[in-house]
Amino acid sequence: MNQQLKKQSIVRKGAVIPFTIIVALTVIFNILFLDYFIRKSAEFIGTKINGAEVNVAAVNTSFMNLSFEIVGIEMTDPELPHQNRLQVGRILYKMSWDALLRGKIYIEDGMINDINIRTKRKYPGYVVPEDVSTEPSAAQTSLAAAKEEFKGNIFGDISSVLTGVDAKSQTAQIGNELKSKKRYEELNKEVAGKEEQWKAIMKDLPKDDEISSIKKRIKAIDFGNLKDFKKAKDTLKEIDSVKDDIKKVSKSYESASKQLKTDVNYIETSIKDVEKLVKEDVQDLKKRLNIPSLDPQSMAKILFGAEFANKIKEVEHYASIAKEYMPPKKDKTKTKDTISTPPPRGKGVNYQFGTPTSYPLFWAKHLQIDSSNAQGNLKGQILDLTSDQATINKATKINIEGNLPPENINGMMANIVFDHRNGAKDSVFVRIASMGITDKNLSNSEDVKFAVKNAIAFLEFKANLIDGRVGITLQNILKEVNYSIEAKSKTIQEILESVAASTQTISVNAEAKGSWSDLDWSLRTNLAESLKNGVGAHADKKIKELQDKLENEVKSKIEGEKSKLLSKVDSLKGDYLGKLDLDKNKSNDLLKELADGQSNSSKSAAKKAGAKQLDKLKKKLKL
Amino acid sequence: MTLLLKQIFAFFKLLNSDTGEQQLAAGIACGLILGFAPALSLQTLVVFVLLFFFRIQMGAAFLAAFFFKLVAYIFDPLFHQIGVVILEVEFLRPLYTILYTMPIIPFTKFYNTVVMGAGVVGFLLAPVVYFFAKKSIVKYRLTVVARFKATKVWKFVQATSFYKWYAKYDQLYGEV
Repeated sequence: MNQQLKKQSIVRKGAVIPFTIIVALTVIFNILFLDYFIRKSAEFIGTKINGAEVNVAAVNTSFMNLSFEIVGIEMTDPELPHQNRLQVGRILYKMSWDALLRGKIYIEDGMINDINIRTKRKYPGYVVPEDVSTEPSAAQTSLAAAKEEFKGNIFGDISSVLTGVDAKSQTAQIGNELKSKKRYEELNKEVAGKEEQWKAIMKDLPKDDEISSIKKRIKAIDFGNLKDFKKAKDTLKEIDSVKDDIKKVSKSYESASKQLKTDVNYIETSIKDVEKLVKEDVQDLKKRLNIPSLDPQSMAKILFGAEFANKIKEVEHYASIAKEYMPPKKDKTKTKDTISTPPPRGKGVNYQFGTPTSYPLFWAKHLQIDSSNAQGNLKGQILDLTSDQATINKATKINIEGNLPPENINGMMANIVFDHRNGAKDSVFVRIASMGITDKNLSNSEDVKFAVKNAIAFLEFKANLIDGRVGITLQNILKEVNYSIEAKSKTIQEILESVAASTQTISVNAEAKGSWSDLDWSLRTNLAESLKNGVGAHADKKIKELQDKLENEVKSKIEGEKSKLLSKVDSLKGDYLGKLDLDKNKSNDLLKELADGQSNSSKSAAKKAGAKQLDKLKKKLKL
Repeated sequence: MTLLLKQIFAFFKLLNSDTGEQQLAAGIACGLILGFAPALSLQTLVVFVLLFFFRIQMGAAFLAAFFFKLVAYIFDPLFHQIGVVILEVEFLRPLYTILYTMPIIPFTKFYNTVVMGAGVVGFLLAPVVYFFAKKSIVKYRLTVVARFKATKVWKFVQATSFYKWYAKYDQLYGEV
């Protein structure tokens, strides 16, 4: 065996056949299964991007001319899984050999045909559940908060106010949940605790007998000794010692008084703060009892805010996907930051060494959209869809225009730009000249049903997203509006009918601007104005009455705790601070007494010295 | 799977024979490169071609690749750091740009920090591992195998008819 090994050459000639078999198997695999795997991968990635199931009917690849055909793409609508938000009949493109040999995908020209929107699915598509493990972005949190704020049913709320809301019975159940009441209870407990502390402080203060003993010591001092040099030293020593004792007493009174005053101030400020909580409680109750605000801006937010926020959410979703797949060029400092954080194990960080003439990892230079089918005509183009805009120095542009008559959409135009060459600058402009609207619910409660039965809408939507700063506007005009109104109360029915009669055209102007984490919302609609005018001063008065009632109810709920606290504070102030002030005065009197003694002694000494000098002078002058 | 097992058995057989230490050492060195490189990359393909066409012990390569894959996993953060340092070298940027835009070369994924770090370490260590493995195999044969062959147990096994039958079979059909 060993001899056999020694004779063997370094080249394994026997490997030629297995190698050939492997190559042949690879070719067969590609012929039979490559299209299948690409189709499955496209469905998997598409589902991740779309947020709901994406189906691809077929993928046909040709190795010879590097062509790629994707047939029958269906993108499920995540909000309505039984329908597709978009259906594309065919995408066809050719890749470049030159780029492929460099490990890049470059598509010079491609075609997208047969586009349909809102088509019915054979079965409801799978919707990707929201990833709760990852922290929501600032934009997601902000939009969710806005949607929560815009929740409500303005028509139902007005109806219930006009038909009567019993504030007293409602507040009776929630008396214990009032923030102001809870705070007063806490403060009462705190004051009880503080009273114990104060008692201990007062106990440690100098007693009356200490003060009277100091008084006795002052009286015992013979200030006349100050004239006598021999005795003056001891007397001065005694004066200093008494002075120190008085200062000690005074200091302990002062520190106790200071602490008590701080505590009293804290309680008094807390009481003022509770008054703010009373206002919050009233607001909370208003929300809970669905007492509406007749401010047109607030009403507009409730009527159309959620819809506007949903549109912004969609823009944010696609902008963040664009940012993920077309990352903006990082500046040097940012690159260092990224590098300092270790990437996930086994992943590493990919560097790009592109030059202006090189290919980015993916670049679809021109994709022509040309769709003509039963749903209508769509024409447009996608330009420079790439993974690295900085390399090709071009922004990605999508332009589409067309008409979809069966969907009642005419004069549609969309211009979208993703410019990530230097930071992220995205813009979206969508205009629909006319769009049929049917059964748009504005209120669907038991008491009131108010809907736009049909109307013709004009829509213009503009969004500018520049490095985290947002500026989004929506103008929506609904013309020839037919309403559907059903109200339990006859009065409400009449009011809403008059509102409908005076509002044949609804205009909505919405704007959101600022940073994603702090969006400034502004919504205006003439429907809100009409509604305010329709329900008139009567509802306004009722709402004000209710608000006053609620305020009084809250105040009566907290009255007991509040007066308990106030009387406690008063008694503590009188009992402790008053006594402390008296005691402080006593120590001051002692100091004064000591000072008087000293000054009297020095005055008499000066008087005697003066008389002596006068005698001497008289003797000299022999008077 | 059978082919893989066969190669692994062949590895143990060759390891305990008197020859083929170069094939084994080359196999272990190739395993190091395989273990440190990403599964789907140009360098992996090149190593596989080498394994196929040159008399390098495949079992040794596969076992070493498995072992070094675990090592690579442990040292992944270090490889990333090394990769960052190498890819950040300013005077090499023109070279990287040429390589990046050249045909075929990007399939090595050299532009990835972990691949670059692990690749450089792998290629530098491969000759060291080759010579170290060669010396270790010789030493192993002189100490462990020789002593084992001198034991009574082994002599007893060698005396059995089953072993004789196996030795004959191996002489006729066995190959490394």
